[in-house]
Amino acid sequence: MYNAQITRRNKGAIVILLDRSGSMAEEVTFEGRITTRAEALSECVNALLEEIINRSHRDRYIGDYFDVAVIGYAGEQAESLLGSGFRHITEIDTMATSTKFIPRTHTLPDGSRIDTIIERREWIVPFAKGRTPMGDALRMARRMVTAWCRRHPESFPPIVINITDGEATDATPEEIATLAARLRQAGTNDGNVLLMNIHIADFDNLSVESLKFPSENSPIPTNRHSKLLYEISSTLPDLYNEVIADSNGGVPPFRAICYNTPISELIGLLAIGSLPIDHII
Amino acid sequence: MRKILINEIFESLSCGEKAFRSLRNFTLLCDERGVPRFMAGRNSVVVQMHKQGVLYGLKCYTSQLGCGEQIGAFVKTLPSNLIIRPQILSEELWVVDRFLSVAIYPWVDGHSAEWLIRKAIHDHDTALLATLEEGFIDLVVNILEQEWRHGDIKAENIVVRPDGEMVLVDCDSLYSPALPKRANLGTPLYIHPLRKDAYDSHIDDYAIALIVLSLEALRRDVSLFSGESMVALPSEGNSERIRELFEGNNALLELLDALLSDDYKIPNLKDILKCITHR
Repeated sequence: MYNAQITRRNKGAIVILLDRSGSMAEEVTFEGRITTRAEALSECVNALLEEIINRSHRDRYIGDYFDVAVIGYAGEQAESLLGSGFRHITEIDTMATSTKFIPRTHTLPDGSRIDTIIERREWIVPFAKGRTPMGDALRMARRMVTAWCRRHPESFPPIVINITDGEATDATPEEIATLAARLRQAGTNDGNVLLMNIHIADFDNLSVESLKFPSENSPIPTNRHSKLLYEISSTLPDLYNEVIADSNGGVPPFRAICYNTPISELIGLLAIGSLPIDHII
Repeated sequence: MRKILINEIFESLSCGEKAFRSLRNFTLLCDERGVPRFMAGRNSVVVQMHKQGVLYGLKCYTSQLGCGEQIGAFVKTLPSNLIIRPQILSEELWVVDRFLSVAIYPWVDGHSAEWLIRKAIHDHDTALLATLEEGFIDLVVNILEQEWRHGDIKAENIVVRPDGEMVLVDCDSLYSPALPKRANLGTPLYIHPLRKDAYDSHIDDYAIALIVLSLEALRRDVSLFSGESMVALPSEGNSERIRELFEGNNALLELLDALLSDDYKIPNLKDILKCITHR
């Protein structure tokens, strides 16, 4: 299980569920700048898209190794942010809507600093408004991955990464648990869909415990919301053990949840969550 | 420590010499957006650079290179007509929060065999497939006469020069009795399913058989291609069709049986290859 290699014939799939509710308009410090959570999240998701494209780069061409979907949820419903449904990574390479210039300071080992402006392509633009229809996002994701798995029965199963800073407003916790369970029931011959939840820290609520890929035999969280996200998150297969243990410590198997996560750590967590992109043949 | 992104490597490269411990006086080749021209591998990214008027490949490892210094010393003893010999600089490039190893090697003009195979398939160019196969067999018969093995033979790691000569790139998975045993060598698609952590002079056998059989099969029926150039892979489900295509050719049938067997070793591989090319 979870052994399938990513090839052009048996490509992989990644789905990002992106909370774009009103609370994402709050200001945060990200990469040394004051910006909004929505800005920071869109930069991280765009960085992930760029990484998937980069990892697919071969001799003079981009290999069609992944299908990717980004589902944003805000207001009353979820919507697909890369056009409808999954897009081939080869299509995404040509779909950037704009370019963003981001100041970056590099600190070198001798202590010197180099200020640069880096140019980054943008597919997902920042947005923050309204409520949190996470239930609708989970339903949409389930429809998409179920159809995808039928078309790719021998592939590594889809990875769904849900990034949120709050609780669903369109479904009760029990309904969210049911929707997530249905999502995780989809799968290929290589295993079920992997659902990972990343909760962005609310700095007004620092008393809530943080979690970062907890071991399965760790105590279940007591906070109601973290407990829900914990319970709906997948247990990660062996493929993830080394990279999580290296970055985080702990004993596998690990649970695919990061709760109360500083936004500065998001790109690293997305890189872990999308680990199969390192396993392209 | 978290995983390094390829863009983060590019950002470090944009800092120039200051991001390197020792590498000096070079210029990266970039596209119109200022992004380095590159190819990605499983644990590395290769960019091009000019240094003192010479074009080089700069391979930046995204994870730790096991036995880098021993490989770097050993590879200097290898024949340069068979394999490109990089200079390995351990812990050389600063990226985010750590030093990464790099390998520098003279850039080889030409195309990867993978690119050429795909071009041949696209163009239905069976003559090109035949030329590629012949060149590949020449190369690997030479290697099978050495005491070392490449460890990661695949179409992407073979550069075909403009004159048709082939040379191997990527020394990370080298086998030699002189080198320490390492695990996880090679690319899974090109590794016999039951080879596991075997580390011996037969680690290239399966990959060689796979490439030869795939090229032979494609020459006869290019419609076998469905995305993956290695059409002889058991997982591609073409074995019976390929057996039909090879009917009457004992050498190819013997090689196909060897590919599909439970043994990763093909002891008489060199003899079979010589029969295939009638040498």
